[in-house]
Amino acid sequence: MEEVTVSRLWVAGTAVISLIAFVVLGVILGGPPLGWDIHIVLASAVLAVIVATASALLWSVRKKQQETKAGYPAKDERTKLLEGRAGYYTSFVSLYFMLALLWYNFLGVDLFGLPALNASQALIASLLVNALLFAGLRWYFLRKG
Amino acid sequence: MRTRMKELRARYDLTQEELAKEVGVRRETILFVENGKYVPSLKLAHDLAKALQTTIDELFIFDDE
Repeated sequence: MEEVTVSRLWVAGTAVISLIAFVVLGVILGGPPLGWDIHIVLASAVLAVIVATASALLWSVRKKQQETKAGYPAKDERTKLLEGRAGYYTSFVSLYFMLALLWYNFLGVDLFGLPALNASQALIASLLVNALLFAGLRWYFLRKG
Repeated sequence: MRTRMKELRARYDLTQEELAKEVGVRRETILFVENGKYVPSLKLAHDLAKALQTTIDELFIFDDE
C-alpha cells in the first residue's frame, strides 16, 4: 500500500478510535443515566481531533527519523528554497494582518463601535495566522513543487 | 525544461532513492527534477550529471520559449 494512504489511514483510524473511546468514557464517567449528551460528543470530538493531530505529528517525526537513518538529508536545497518561499509570503501576509488589526482598533472600535481587542487577543490571533499560514504554505509548496 | 534523467537512471539501473542518496538530496527532489517541476542548482545539476555519467547539457534540455 502507498505510504500516503497508510499515513492517512493511520490518522483517520486514530481519530475514529479516540472519538469512540472518548464518547464511551464520557458516557460511562460523566453522562446522564440514560446515555447521550451532546456536550460529551462535542468534547469527545475536540479531544479526538487533538489526538489525531498528535498522531499525525508523531507519524511525520517517525518518518523523518527513518529517512535520516536511511541516509537522506532532513533538508535539501529544494526544501530550504520552498520553506524560504513560504516564510517570505507568511511574513508579508502577517504584516498586513497586523496592520488590519491596527486599523480595526482605529476605525472599527472608534468609529463603528466594534468590540476592542486586548493585547493578548491580538497577539494570539497574529501568532495563529503566522504559524498556520506558514505550515499551510510549506505543505502546499512541498506538494506542488 | 526536460531532462534525460529517467532514461539514464534506467541505463545504469538506478532507482530514484539510490540516485537521491548518491547526490545527497531527498527522494522528492529527484522526482520533481525528473518531471521538470524543479530547476536544480548548478551544484545539484553537476552532481546529478556526474552520478549519471554524463554532462549537464546532455542531462537537461531547455526548450526555447
